[in-house]
Amino acid sequence: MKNIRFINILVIIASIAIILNCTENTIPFNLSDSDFNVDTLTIRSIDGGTYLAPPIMGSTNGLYFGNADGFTNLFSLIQFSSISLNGTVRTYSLLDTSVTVDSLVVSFIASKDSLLTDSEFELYYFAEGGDSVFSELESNYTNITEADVANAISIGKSTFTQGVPDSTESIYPKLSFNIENIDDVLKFIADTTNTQNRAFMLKNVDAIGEIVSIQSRESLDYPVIDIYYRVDDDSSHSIFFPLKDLTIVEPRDLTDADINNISIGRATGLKSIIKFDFGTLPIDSTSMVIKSAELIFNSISENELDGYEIKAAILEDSLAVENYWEINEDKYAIEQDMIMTGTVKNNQMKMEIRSFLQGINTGSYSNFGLKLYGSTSSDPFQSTNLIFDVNNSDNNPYLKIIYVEL
Amino acid sequence: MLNYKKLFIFTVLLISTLFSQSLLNGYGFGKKVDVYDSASLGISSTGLLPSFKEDVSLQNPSTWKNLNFTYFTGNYHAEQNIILDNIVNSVSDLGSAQLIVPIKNKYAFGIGLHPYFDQYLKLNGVDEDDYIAYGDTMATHHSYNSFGGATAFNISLASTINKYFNAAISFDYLYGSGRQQTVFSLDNINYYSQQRHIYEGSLAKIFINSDVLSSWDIPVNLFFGLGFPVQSISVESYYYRPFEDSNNSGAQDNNDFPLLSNTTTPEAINTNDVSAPYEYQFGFDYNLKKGLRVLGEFSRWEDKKKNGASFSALNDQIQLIDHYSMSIVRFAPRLPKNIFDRFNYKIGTYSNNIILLNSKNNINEYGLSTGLSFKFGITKNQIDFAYSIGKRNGLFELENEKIQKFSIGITVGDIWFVKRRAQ
Repeated sequence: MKNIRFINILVIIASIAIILNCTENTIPFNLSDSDFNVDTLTIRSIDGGTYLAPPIMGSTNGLYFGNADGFTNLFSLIQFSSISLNGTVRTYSLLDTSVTVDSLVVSFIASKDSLLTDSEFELYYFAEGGDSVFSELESNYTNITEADVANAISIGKSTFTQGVPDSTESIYPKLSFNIENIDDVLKFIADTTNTQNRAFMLKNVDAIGEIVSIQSRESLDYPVIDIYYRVDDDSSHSIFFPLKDLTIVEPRDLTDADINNISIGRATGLKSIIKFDFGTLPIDSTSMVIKSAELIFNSISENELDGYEIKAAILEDSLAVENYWEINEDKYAIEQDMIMTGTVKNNQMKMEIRSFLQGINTGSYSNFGLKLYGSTSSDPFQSTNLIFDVNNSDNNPYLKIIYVEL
Repeated sequence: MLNYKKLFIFTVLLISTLFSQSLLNGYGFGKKVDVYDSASLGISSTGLLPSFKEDVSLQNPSTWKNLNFTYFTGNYHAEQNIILDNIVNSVSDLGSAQLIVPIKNKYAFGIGLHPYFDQYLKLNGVDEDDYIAYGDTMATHHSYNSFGGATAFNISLASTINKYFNAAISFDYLYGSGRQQTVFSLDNINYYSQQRHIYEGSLAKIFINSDVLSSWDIPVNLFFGLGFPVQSISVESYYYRPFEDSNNSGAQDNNDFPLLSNTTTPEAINTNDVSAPYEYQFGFDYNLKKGLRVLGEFSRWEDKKKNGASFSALNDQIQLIDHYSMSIVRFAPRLPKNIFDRFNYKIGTYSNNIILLNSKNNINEYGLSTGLSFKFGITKNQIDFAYSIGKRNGLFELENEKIQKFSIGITVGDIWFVKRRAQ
């Protein structure tokens, strides 16, 4: 037993020594012969063209009204959820005979804190099949016209109102429709016959000579339906939020600058395709990492758009490119998992696309090119014209690659 | 026996190939670990020569028939390396474990674990430089890390051949893995290239010892060892795609480039016959007078294959290690008369000559060692202390390296294969 006790003590001492008696310092050594080094490569073999497709205004930060700069905003469509924000109240439960609805208000908040128009707005609902009226991803002025929404039923009219802010807050103008014929509207939005029918249409009654924007479902103050009701004398309040919305806009006419450059603008319907010749690219992902791959375009000086954002998506299929072409529907499929963003500053658009190059190297993507389109966070009525001139290579786009090589 | 089992399991769990870093660890598959038991360290022996008790080495199974009890031994090992006079690295760990079962003073067998290759090395590049890319100046820096190594699981069998000769054979099953990282920093962002190597192989070693010269009244024991590969070491290599450690976490994750979720499986390459270590050993144990021994040893470890350099960031491998040692040991008498008779006293000196394959660089190492052993208990348990100090010259760029080793070995005995009398 004595021996075992002695051994146990030694083991404990050794364990403590193991913990305490370790010093680790790196050894200085000349590793300059290492194959790990940095290098650069500039790619100028870039081809591209601009195409025009009917503008899809879903997913933008605003719903737009008014006519300006050649754009005509016809109307906006909004579909609400059947379930309230806290997830416990469904619209059909409001039809229960034990429920008394006291008020039903549909509200919209302006995108800017200044009151831009005195125009009246009119809110409509669709008596039947409202939710199938539009698609956020496909509806545009060519496939949904005013004739298609002529059967919409007016709920009421309203104008923007704005509270007086104190010194520390901003109060945004609000457009509220206090529904008077509650029962009719409630029945159509709380339809229990499984007919999806919670879409509304909003349009300005008076002509507006500028672009007025209200916040869409992508924004912080999205449109809502406020419903105050009682259940057996207990008062309650539920808010219903939008599921999809968009504005139907007729674009302006194109200019020569739009057609002769790499042009991008959401409301104009301008998008572009660019393709790279990576034939000389000695990049192998098994032995190197791309530190940066910056795509640089110069933009025409007449159109300064500092801060304008452009998105780039990777094309899934091969595509023939011309200088300019038009299509009725944009069916150019893109990789959904990789969207890159470029920003215009000082007449240059810079975009980091190393993920695209890395994906090509690893075989995740094919080098079919990039689709450039306007970001939802930028003003959709602006467009940028990036210089692409086969006769003047100095001004043409180029790709600056910095890579670390093993 | 329950406590012995616990001790054995505890020791085996803690055994690793964690030795202090040295530039030699970066060549080929790393540095061959030459000494791993405390008793042998005290006389600077590779384990061929008796150092544990008279005529017994814990690492030479041909001597185990001289034991009267079954022993389990474990070693705590500490090592300090000083490079360029001011860069100190030290580490300590449980180093090896061995169970030795002698049978009727004729046969013996044993199982054990001990480190074989050590790859622990962290190099910090002194090559900081600026690189100008598109008008931007970026600071560059290299570093290199390697970890891991190979461990040997050992089975030994020994037998007496005749009055003068004893022989043994031991088999080492080598296993383990090493990880290598090359890190390139660009403006304080690290780019990693990583490889992982899994090692496997088996070696055999034949031991012979003979006191045939005693028939001519020459009190010398001779020791021979011949090691050779049964299956040369093979390597399963995994080459990971390099990545940018964007969040400086030291490992690839989903904040890096490319994302961890986007990485492909590493390229796997199997390479056979990458290392074939041979060992040739000769030693003597001269009995000056009762209990006082002079011992000498020559050992050569040689890798007959030339593939190791391609697994090394330093692009070289250790081709050959010649080891010379001389020592004097005063073993404790069988019947101690006082407390001092319970101690073994050891002193030794050694020299290693290490040759690299590609550079033909000649690295010399020499040093002194001393040891003290204390016997206790009925089964002649023993605790060994050993200390060694040495210097290594000829290291590329680093000139020399000072090495200090300290080791404690605990050996406890029990009676196996002996019929106990009924109470």
